[in-house]
Amino acid sequence: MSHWPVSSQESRDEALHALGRMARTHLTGNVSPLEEAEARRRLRAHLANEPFSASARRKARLAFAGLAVAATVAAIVVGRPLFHRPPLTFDVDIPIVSDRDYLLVPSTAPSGHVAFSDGSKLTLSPGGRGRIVNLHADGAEIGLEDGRASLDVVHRAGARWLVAAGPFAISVTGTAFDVRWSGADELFEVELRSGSVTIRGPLAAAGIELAAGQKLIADLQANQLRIERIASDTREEASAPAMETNPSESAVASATPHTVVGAAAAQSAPRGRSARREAADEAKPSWTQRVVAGDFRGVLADADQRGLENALKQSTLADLVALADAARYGGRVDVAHRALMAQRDRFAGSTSARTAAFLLGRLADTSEAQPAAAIGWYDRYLVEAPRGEFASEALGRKLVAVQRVSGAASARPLAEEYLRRFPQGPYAAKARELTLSP
Amino acid sequence: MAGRGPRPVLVARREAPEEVDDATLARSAIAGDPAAHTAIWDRHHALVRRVLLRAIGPGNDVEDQVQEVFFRFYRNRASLRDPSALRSFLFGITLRVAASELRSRRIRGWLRLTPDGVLDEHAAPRADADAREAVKRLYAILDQLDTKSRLGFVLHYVEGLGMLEVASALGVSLATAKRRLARVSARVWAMAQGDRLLVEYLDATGPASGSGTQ
Repeated sequence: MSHWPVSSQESRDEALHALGRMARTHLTGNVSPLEEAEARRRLRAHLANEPFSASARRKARLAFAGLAVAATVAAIVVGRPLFHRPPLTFDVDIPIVSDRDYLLVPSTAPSGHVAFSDGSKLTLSPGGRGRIVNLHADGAEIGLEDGRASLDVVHRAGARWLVAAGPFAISVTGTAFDVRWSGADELFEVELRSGSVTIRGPLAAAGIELAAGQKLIADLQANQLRIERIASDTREEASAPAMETNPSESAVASATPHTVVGAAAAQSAPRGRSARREAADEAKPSWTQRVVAGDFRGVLADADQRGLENALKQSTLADLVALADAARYGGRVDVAHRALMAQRDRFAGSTSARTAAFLLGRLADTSEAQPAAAIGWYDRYLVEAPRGEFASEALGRKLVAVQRVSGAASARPLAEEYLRRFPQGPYAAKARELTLSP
Repeated sequence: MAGRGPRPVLVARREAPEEVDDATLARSAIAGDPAAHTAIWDRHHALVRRVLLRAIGPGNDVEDQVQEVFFRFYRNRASLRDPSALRSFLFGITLRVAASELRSRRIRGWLRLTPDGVLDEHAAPRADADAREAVKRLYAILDQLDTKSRLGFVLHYVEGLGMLEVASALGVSLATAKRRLARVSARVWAMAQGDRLLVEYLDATGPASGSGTQ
């Protein structure tokens, strides 16, 4: 298996995705029109014979009555319903305009409140729009279309709440947080007051676990994501230890691909005092863990102490990836550039090396003001990983860079290609605009 | 809420008028309109058949299970609380039917590929021989997994669903889905490495296509 480096979870995952794609390609489930017509006819015949004749209804009622009796007996004996737990319900407080489950707070009105039957509460700020998408026994799915909302979820075993805000999704078990989404500015913010949440979205494809006291800001237009601590008087629990030592530190992640996200993030994001004590008892954490915890300066200081040259030549791939991320988030563009180049030189052919090409393009684009160099790196990434995780973004950023360097006419073919390949992608609107421009 | 600020016009988000949306179809079906059931079939049978085939594996006729999905929908349509979630509702039924079928086949010892080991053309109309054989080997590996693990693997790696969607489809938390998938992917990978043909197939295709699900 010489072409598939198997040393990392990422490589293994990539190979399994390749197998999955192969199966997807060959198992389409397509049938001939004749077979389809026969299947359709069969269903209609089946339903015509089966359904709600009077006798069938009587039988169904009898069966249902029997089940209801059994369920009632079981509920009395066991102390809880046997078959079904009813979904949550909610009450809407004025002045929210509500059409069943659609919520809209006029911009001139005070905040609106939604009280769920499990004690959880949602507050929608003036100008906010949203929807209770789904209710089930263990929680609800809430869609925030625009504006700011605060959610206090009562912690219960098995609680499942999901808040979707624009392209982001926040998975919640028991916690309190504020979320804001502006569709016009493509700006997403989450301030976590207690508990923990997992956030997924365009800049956090594999999920970022946010700890109490942390704030995540994702700016899709600038393609930046950063995590910073929130003021201590606005939260209930302590924040990450690394943040405590550097209260003014702000982590800026340009495109934030692989280090802040994923299993490592889920495992090592701080979760409160006991977790901090455990963490303190552990041996020195890896650079990856320290990047996840926000200790970018610490990682960079460690690298400087070891000697940057040595670190670049001798570090493992995981450490190089972490160093590059720490440098990008910590504003050390030169170190980030060298760490990414080291990944490409020393680990050519790996997924990280391909991702490094994309990130080098990002650096050239956003931090080094070299759009021509950025285009070259995006091209390289698109050649090496034509269907890779960042292909849509690489092509989108390339078309923007080409427009900037060579004008709209040069970018138009790229826009057309983008729309063909990623009609729902984040740059689709920009691409459409380019294709429609005179 | 009267007298507490302006009352804005609610945002209308309907599909093109000529296209009847899922919610309307579902409401009609719940009300007992047979034409709505046919329309739901027309719209969703391909998705249902595809998911069933990928869950159960190549070489298996899934037509009975496709019928079963729509029949179960017919019987349980009243429990669809959110008509706009028709597709998710059908998807859930499909997974339950697939799981049930996999368990039955396991019990009956029927979980295998075609008797002669050759995939039928309808499963892979234009497949090259190597790829067809590789698909067969992959599913031979999946046959050794328990039903939940198999469905999790198929949804994520074959169907291309994200972790949140997998978790939602399987009715487990995101953390549980991740944990299970990590375990099952390690197992599948270990078994795939022991299969020379799969190793050769991966070598031949190479890693250039990336890990996304686009």
